Amino acid sequence: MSAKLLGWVLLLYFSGSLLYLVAAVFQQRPLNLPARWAVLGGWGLHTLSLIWRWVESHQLNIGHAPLANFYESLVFFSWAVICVAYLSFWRQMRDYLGSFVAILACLILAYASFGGHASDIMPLMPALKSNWLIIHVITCFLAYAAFALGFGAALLYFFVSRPATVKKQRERQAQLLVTAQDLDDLIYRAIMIGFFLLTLGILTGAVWAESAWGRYWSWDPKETWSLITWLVYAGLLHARFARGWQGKRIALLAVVGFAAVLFTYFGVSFLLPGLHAYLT
Amino acid sequence: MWLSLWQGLTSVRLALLSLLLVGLGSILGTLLPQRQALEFYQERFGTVGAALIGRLGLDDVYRSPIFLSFIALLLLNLIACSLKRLPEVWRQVQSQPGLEAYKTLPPRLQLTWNRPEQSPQQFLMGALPRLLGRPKVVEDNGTTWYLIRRGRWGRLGPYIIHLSIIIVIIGAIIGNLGGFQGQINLMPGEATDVLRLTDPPGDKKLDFSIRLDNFQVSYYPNGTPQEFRSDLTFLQGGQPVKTAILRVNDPVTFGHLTFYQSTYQAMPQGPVVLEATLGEKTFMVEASLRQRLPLPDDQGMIMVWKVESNIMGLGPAVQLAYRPTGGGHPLLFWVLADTSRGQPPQPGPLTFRIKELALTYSSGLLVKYDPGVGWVYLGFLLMLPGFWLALFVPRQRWAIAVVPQGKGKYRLTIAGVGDRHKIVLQRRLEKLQAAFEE
Ligand code: HEM
Repeated sequence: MSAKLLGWVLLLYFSGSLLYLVAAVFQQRPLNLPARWAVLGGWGLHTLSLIWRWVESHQLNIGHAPLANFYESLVFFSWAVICVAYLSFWRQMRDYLGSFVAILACLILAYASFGGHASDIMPLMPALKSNWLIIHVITCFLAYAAFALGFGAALLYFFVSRPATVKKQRERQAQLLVTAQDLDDLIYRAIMIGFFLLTLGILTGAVWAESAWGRYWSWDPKETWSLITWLVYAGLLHARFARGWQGKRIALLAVVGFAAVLFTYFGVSFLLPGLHAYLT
Repeated sequence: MWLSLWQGLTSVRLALLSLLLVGLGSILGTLLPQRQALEFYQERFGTVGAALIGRLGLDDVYRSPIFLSFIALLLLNLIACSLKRLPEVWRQVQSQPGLEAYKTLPPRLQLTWNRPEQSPQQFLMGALPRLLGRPKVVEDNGTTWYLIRRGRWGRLGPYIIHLSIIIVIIGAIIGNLGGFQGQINLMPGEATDVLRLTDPPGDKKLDFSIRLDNFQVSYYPNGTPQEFRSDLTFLQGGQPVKTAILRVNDPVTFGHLTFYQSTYQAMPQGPVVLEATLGEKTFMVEASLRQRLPLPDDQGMIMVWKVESNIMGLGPAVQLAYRPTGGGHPLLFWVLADTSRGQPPQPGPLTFRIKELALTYSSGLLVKYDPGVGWVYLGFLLMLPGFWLALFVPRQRWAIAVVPQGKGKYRLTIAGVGDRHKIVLQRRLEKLQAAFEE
């Protein structure tokens, strides 16, 4: 069973995160290497379990990519976080940032496994049978993963640059092995990657909706919230490119943007119907 | 005055403002239930609140004049900014900056060349194309300059993105003003040339007719639908001109109209034959859909309210409405055609069983004419290279000055700037340094 593998994946991500943390807190840089092996090993198994689930669905004669329900999307999200982080930021994935990424993937996966979501492989309804939908879901989740990374870097930025004397701050940055400047750059690059992928996600979603429902845009809450997320990040990029914002303000916008991502992903599904229910 | 208006219209500040306004409007539209009846809002927000909502168009935010004006502001801003900046940006891309422009670049790295076996010129001409790009070589007062410009087209990226967004919005406007959408419901064998428009409501006569030859639904074992399929024939002047198979996610185009498989409805073919039991007595009734049928012995009335071809994986079923004698609320309940698996409870004194149920389906097609969708897709396509240029083609300028010091020694100064991507610049420098030290 593909789900059994995920237990090992969880364990590997968790130990990777711990190792990274020990490496950072106790300044034991060599520990970054086993940490990386643990996380990447976990990611390999994670990939295997995704493929396996795909095969299983074919054995059930309802073959489809494992991206069809909330459980499957969470598992994929967790996978995407590691994928984007290591693919785009191989060098930066160490110490605190490495630990953050690994624990984030771990938490998402744990929520998928133990959050009580239906994890059975279900057949696809006709409207969901589209290659556009697969590309759409993949690009959206890779985008979310990149934004999560930007969020993590923003948190670390606040931590690194919290008020102190210049001397103290320099000491702190030396201890953390990362400067505020590096983090600022990382936030912005993660968000560029995420923004590009989110745009692709919205476009492919529109093309799919046009072929399934005959409307490329219908202002449904999920769509609308992905647009809102897009607008926040477009605002961030303009503030940075054209008005030269940096540092705290960009980090703050990265946090706001990630809040919009979370609302698009979870809030629309759980809170908006709830809100409607409350209103009615 | 006009100048400052123009300046305002082209500013990034206005861009941020219009992004914010469109964002806030969108949020409101997801939080406040949309397109409800007036009573709905009155109940929740009082008479004054509901009147305000109606006046501001908040019951239909995305079509309200306020929201549309935010989008117009965004569009205007984009157009103005493009008009203002594009000529200048184009000139920048095309221009060939002279040596003077390169001389002011900040130095990043200084080296002494001390390798008698190779001249720096030889080395640079060999290594630079791989490391930085093909250099332009300029001699100036004994100093040799190697000038390199990378990613010049990147400058166009944002403007291509802006243009593509303009095209998408214009495509959406064209679609909304010039397009229409409607519905056609057909029984197998039936043909029609009338389209029922949804927004605004009305009928539209087509210059061809469309016939449903066959409709099929298939189900997974658990009862969820697997596929809907309509076999269509298009007729012109009574002659078939095209046949097509229509499935969900696989629309069919005829003329300038696009057809989508949108809904279907199961219908009884002929009357439903039911067996009713009351105590010891049984009798047969034949009921057509939505037709009231008095039961014998003054036992009230029944009506076949709905039929389903597969309810929760339990197969075909009929929903009956039973009204006891003397009025009262009708009672609604399901009767399964498959009697082997037991029945849901039936209220009322009678027990019904289905003796005969033949099903057929009507197919619901969504029909659309959208003259703007091509523009929207064009915008989508254009956006991709725009993004590539804007985000991933960093612009850099490098100048390497080689100054002879005599005795085969040279001093090398490497200067360069890059916009935005500090790390990219840094990496290039590291690579250069490694190459020199090797
Ligand atoms: C709906 C959305 C958008 C609006 C209303 C908008 C508006 C504007 C405006 C008014 C400017 C100032 C023009 C100037 O002074 O040169 C600008 C600049 C810019 N925009 Fe956008 N833009 C939008 C989308 C985007 C997107 C999606 C990107 C993608 C990366 C982008 C990238 C840029 C860049 C890089 C600049 C700076 C250009 C420069 O420095 O020359 N814009 N935008």
